[in-house]
Amino acid sequence: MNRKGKSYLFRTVNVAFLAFLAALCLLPLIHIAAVSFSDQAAVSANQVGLFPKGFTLASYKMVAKRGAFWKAFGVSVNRVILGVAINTVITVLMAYPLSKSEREFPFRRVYVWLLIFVMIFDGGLVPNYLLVHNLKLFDTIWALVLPAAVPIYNIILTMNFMKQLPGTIEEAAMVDGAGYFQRFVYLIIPLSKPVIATVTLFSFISHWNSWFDGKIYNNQTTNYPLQTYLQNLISSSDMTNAAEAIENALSNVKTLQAAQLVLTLLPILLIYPFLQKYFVKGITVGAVKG
Amino acid sequence: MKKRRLLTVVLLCVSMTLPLAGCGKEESGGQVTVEGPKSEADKMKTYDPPITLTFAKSEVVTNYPAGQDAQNNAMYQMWEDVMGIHVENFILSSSSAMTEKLQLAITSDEIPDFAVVDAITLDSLIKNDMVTDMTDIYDQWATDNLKTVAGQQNNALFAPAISNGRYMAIPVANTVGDSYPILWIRSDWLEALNLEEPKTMEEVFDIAEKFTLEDPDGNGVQDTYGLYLDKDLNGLDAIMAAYEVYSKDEYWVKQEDGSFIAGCTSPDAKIPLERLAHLYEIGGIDHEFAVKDAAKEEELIASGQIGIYMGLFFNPLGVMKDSVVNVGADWTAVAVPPAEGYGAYKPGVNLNVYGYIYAKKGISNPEAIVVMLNHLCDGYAAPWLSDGTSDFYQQYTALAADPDISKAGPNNLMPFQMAGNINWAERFSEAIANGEEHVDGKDADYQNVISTELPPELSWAWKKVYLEGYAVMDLDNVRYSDYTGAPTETMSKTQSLLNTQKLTDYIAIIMGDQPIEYFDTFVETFNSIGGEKIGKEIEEALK
Repeated sequence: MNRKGKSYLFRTVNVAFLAFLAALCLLPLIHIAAVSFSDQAAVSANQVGLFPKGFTLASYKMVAKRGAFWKAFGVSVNRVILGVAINTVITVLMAYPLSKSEREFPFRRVYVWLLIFVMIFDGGLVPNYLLVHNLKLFDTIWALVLPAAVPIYNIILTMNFMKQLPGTIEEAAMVDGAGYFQRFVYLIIPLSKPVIATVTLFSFISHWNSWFDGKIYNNQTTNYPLQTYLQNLISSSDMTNAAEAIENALSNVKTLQAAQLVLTLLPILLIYPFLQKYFVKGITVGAVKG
Repeated sequence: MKKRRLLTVVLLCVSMTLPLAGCGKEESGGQVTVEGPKSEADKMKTYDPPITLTFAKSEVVTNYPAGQDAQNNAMYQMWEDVMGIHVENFILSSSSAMTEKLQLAITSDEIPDFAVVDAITLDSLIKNDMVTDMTDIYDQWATDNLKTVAGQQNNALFAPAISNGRYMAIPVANTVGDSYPILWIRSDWLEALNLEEPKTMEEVFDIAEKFTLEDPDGNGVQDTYGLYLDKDLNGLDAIMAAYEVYSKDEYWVKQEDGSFIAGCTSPDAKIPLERLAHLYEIGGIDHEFAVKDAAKEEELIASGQIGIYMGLFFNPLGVMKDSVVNVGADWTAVAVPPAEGYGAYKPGVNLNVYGYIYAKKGISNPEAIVVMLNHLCDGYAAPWLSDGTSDFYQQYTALAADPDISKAGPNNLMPFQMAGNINWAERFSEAIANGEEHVDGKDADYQNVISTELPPELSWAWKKVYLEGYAVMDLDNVRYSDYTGAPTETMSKTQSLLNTQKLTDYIAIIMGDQPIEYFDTFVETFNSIGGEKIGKEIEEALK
C-alpha cells in the first residue's frame, strides 16, 4: 500500500513537472500565434495573452504581399535541400569507413581524433570569414552550405550506430562475394535508416534555424535566408531614425513580426511528427551500444 | 535587442582583428586629378556616357512596389536618367547592421565607391587611407546651394570629416527636426483635471505629479503614471536641457576657463534628478522602468497609462495612435519649456546629418559625389534656395506622386536622401487652409495628412505630426556638443564605459537607491575612469 502510494505520488509529481516543462516550451509559441491574429492596438498595449484579441487576418494578408519574406523563404528552402543532401551524403560516406576496426582501416583512430579535434576547436570566425570571402562565395547559396558541409556530430552518431550492427551480417555478404561498396549500399544503408533519418532531421533543423552565417556571408539583404531575414526584421526597429520609425509604425510591426515567425515555424512543425519515430530509435540505439 | 548587441560585439571583434589577419594592401594609386567644372551648369551635369558607382545602401523600405526592388526601381532609374550615374548596390543591408557590414568591408579591403557612413566608420576609412581628399573637389564643384546646406552653421557639420585640416568626406545634411525634442502631453487628462499647458519645467513636474495622484482617467484606481521613462533614460536629455544641462552621451561642454567637461556631470543636473526621484517615489514613473526597454515601456503609452512623453515629432505614428484606439486618448504637442531661472530652451542635439559621404580613393570620378549632392540640394532638399525647376526635383515630384511609390516612401527608394531645416507645419497649415492638393517637396506625407480614407487613428497621427509636432519646434535654436571632431583615443576606449556609468548612477538616484548627494560621487567616478582625460585630449585636439 505504502509502496503503491509512493509510486503514485512519484507519478503525479513527475507528470506535473513534465507538464510544466512542456508548458514552458509551448506557451510562448501560443502567445506568438495569438499576437499574429490580433489587432495591432491591443498588441502594443500588451493586452494579448494566449488568445487573440480583436481577431484579424490582416497581418497574414500583409505577409502574403511581402516579396522579401517569400524570397527569403525560397532561399531557406533552397539551402535546406542542398545543405541536407550534402550533409547526409558526406555523413554516411564518412561514417561507414570510420566504423570499421583499426585492422581493416589503418589509422582510423587518427581520423577520428582529427574529427573530434576540429569539432572542439574550430578555426574561428575571422579565418572563416576570410576564407569564404577569398573563395568568392559571398552572396551565393554555397556560402551557407559549404562551410557546414561536414557535420561531425552527425558523423560520430552514425559511426557509432554502424559499429553496433552485428558484424556477422557483413561477413555473410562478404562470403557471397560482395565488396565494401556493395555491402555499404545494400546492407549498411538500409540497416542504418533510423540513424540516417535522425541526422537528416538534425541537419534540416540546423540549416533551417541558423541565421548568423546568412548575416555575415551576404552583402545583399535579398540573399538572406529566412532566419536572417527575421533577425534583421526584429532587431532593426531603430526608433531614432525618423524615416524608419514612420515606416515601422505604419506596418503593424509587432503583429507582422509574429505572423512571419509563425509561418517560419510551420515547416518544422510539419516535418517533426514524420521523423519522430526514427528519432527515438536512432539516438538511443546508437548511443547505448557505442 | 540582446541578440543584436551580441552580434554587434562579435562583428566588432571580427573587424578589429581582421587587419591582424594580414590584409590591407591598398593599391598605392595616389590622388586622381580632377578637373574643375567647365561652367556653372556643369556642376549639375548628366554624365554621358553614364558612369557606374558602387554603393552601400541602407535598406529602410522592405515592401517595394510590385516588380521593383532595392536595385531596380523607379528612383534608381531616375538617378541614372537625370545624373547619368548608375548606382549599383554593392552592399544592401538594414541600417542597424550597416556599420558592421562596412567595418567588415573596410578590413577585407573591398569598399564600395561611395557610401554614406557614420563618423566612426569614416574615422577608420580615413585612418586606412581609403578615401579621396574632397577639399578641392568640394570647393570647385559644389553649388552655392550645397555650400549653404552642407556648410550650415560655419561648416559645423564637417567636423568629424576633417583630418589634418582637409575635408575627407562631405556631410549629408538632415533636418534638425529629426532629433528636436517635443513634449507630448495627454490633453484629455489636462482637461479632466482642469490644468493648463506647462510654461516651465517645474510645471511639467507638477502636472506629472497630478497625473499620478489625481486619477486623470477617472476609473477610481491609481493606475496612471505621470512621466515616461525607460531603462535607457530616453527623453531625460530633453528634460535636462531645460536646466541647461546637456546629459546626452558623448556631449562635451566647454567651460569658461577653456576646459571641457561631460555635459552629464554638470552640477545643475541635481535639480531635475531630485524631482525625478520624488516623482518616482510617489509612483509617477513606472517602478519597473529600469528593466524595460523602449518597446516594452511603450506598452504603457498604448494602454493609456502614461501622461507625459518626452519624444520627437513622429511619435504619434507609433504607439500613441494605439492609445487613441484603446482608450480614446488625445495628445497635444507642447514646446519644451525652460526651467525657472534658466534661459530660453535650447535642446542639445547631435550633428544633423544622415552621415558622411566619401569617395573611395582611386575612383576616376570623385567629383560625381558632389554632382549628386548638387542635384539633391536644389528644389528637393533646399526649396527655399531654388525656384524648383531643376530636372531632378521635377522628376522626383512626378514619381513621388505615384501612389505605389508614395506608399513605399520615395526618399527611401533613392540611394540616399538629404534634407534642409524646414519647418513643415506652417507650409502644411497654409496649404490646408487654401485647399491645395499638393505640397511640393513633402507631398507623400501631405497626402496622408489630408487623406479621408485612412483609419481614424492614422489620420489623427499624421495631423498631429505635421500640424502640431512640427509647429512647436524651433529649428534654429539648438546646441551641438562643443566637441564633434573625430573620437579621441580615450574616447574610443572608454566612451561606452562612461555611458554605462552615467546610466546606472542616474537610475540609482532616480530610484532612490542613492541620495542626491551621491551625484558628486558619480562625477568623481566618471572623471576618474576617463572623463577628465578626454576633456584634456579635447583641449589638446582643438589647439
